[in-house]
Amino acid sequence: MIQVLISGLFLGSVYALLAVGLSLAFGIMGVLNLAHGSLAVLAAILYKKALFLYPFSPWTFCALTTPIFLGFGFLLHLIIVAPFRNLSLSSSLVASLIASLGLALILEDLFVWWQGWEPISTHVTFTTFNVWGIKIPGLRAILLGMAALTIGLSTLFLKKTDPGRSMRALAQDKEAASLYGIDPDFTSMGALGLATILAGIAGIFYSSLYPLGPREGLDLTLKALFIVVAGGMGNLRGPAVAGLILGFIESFAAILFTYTSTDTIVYSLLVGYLVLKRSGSRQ
Amino acid sequence: MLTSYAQAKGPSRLRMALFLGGVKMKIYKNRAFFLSFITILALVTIIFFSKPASAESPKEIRIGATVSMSGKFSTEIGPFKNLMEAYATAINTRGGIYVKSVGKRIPVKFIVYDDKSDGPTARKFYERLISVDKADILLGPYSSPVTFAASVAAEDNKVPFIAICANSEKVYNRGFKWIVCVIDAAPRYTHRYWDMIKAEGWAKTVAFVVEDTLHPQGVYRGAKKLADSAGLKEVSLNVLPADTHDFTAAIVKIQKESPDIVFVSANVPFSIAFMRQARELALNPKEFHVIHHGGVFQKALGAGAEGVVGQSYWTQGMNYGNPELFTEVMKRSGISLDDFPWAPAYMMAFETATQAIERAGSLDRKKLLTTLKHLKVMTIGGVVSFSENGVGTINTYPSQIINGQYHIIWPPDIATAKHEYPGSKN
Repeated sequence: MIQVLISGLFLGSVYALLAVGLSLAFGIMGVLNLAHGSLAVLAAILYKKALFLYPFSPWTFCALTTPIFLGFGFLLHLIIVAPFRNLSLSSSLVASLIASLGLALILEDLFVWWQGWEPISTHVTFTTFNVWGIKIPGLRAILLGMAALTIGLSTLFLKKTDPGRSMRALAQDKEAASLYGIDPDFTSMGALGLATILAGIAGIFYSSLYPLGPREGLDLTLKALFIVVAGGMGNLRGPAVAGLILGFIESFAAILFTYTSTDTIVYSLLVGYLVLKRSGSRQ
Repeated sequence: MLTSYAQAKGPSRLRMALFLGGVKMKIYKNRAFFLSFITILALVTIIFFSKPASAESPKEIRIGATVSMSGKFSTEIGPFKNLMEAYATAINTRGGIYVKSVGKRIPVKFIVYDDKSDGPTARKFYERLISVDKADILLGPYSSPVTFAASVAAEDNKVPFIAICANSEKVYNRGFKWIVCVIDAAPRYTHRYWDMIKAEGWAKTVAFVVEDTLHPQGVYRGAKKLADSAGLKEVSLNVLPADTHDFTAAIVKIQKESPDIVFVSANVPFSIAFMRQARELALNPKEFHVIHHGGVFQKALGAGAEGVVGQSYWTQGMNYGNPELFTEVMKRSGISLDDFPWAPAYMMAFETATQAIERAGSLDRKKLLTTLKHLKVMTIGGVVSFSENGVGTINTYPSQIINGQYHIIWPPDIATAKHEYPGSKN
């Protein structure tokens, strides 16, 4: 059971990382980026291709590609945010939703064309530690630490730095933030850049632990979206905790029931939780 | 002055009608005679100047096929159009295939389409191969589900269809007359492995990990029966969806039972993911058997693939049939056996088609089918013949990755290395 608990922790940490990026983009810009998971797949493919050139560790590759993913974030802003900035909040949400869905579908086709149908797996061999009879794979333990560090640094960035404070101000009141001299376009571009970096890191970590199909981007987005809905839109702590819980539920469902029932159990629990939460908030 | 028919009245109108009718009849009779004469003349000319159909010499022998150049099976057989064209080149440089009815060798031409790893698409292309391209004989697509759909076109149009990598019994239990398959049915896929385990006698328990798809399920059902009859006890069965990512729960369950053999019946991506996590979580049975442990698996696992046993149709050093021709075809096609372990099965299908045409001595489809049904031909993987429902005799051999190389380990008469298992070197 402890082994399964640890496995759930590893899986949950990757989910958390993925969901935090999606939540960040939604909280600050009100944009639901359905291409978020596809960006994670893109990072995994880039890592796979890079491994043919040099045996980068996942964290080295994350550090090296951070500027690239920041750039992708800026580019993404031009596609799914900038064209709709003059629309009302609800119209811009729908427009960005459709634009990002279209982008996700295009990216999936491009991934298949670029690297074929085979799953992306970027495993690097590491020692497995035996602690009181419990096997702890070294790579997973390091990635768990790195995921926690990334989420922690992102939180610190938002709370303690000027650009981070600008992003939070924009999230609270766009007009008031503008009056204080915050450039909404530049700041939201930065926020989407940060969210894309987080998606990239999640993709690199995910493919280091589990095989990732070139068409799994939308599945990842859907999973992240459920986590964000359960954990609370627009904050970082809620999705991080919800991601970990999802990892535990998936791992335990597989051992207590069957592998085929995992998704049914996860989504039933989530729907049940949302219904209860909703009825609780009404009372 | 002539009175027109419209102006005529009474008896004169009647007379005129009879006269005009007579003229018309005469014209019709003359026209009918003329047309009959022309038709007979044309027929006589055709018959006189044409040769009998049987003596007609075709320019080429058309072999139709589809290959999954895109879609999910493209990683398994994507470049096999090259393999087919390389075989055609090798045969044509030797003059082609001898067809007795025309008394000479005729060059071979493969007509190949991309079925996108999809059954309905494959069926559409097989219809085209038959009706538009006029294929003399058809080779099957990759996988049981795609073959299941594609073979309907051959059956409906009565064209001989040689299935290749499609060993699910469902394909052959439909009463189809025009299909044969070079390989044996899925339940017997691993029978040589269990013969070896029984003969060695060191293994008592087995845990199964099965991907929940058609072919792995079929192989598992057979392996379970064969393991039982070899005296092994199944201590754990884990049937998992094809897209399973985290295997921890299954691995923990298996660890509790400490089986001698962990038998993984799955396609390549699933096998890679499972084996990685099994190695990480230090799952250490006496032996891992992974049914598809080809080059892609070995490259992905690296040192983790060492010692793993699986199934191979052919490895370097086997001397059935004409291995030199196979080596030549592989070289021409630029395909690596490690990356595409199904290439030998395709070669066996080419050899079977060639022999069927030569022995039938004709491209007549019915004659070809009759010859195929009674064929007994030596190929690079052994003797191919077919049972009543079309299932073939070619089966895989247990092979083991030893020092990074694939070796056939059973039966002893064709083994290229000795099976390595705990205690085997003592």
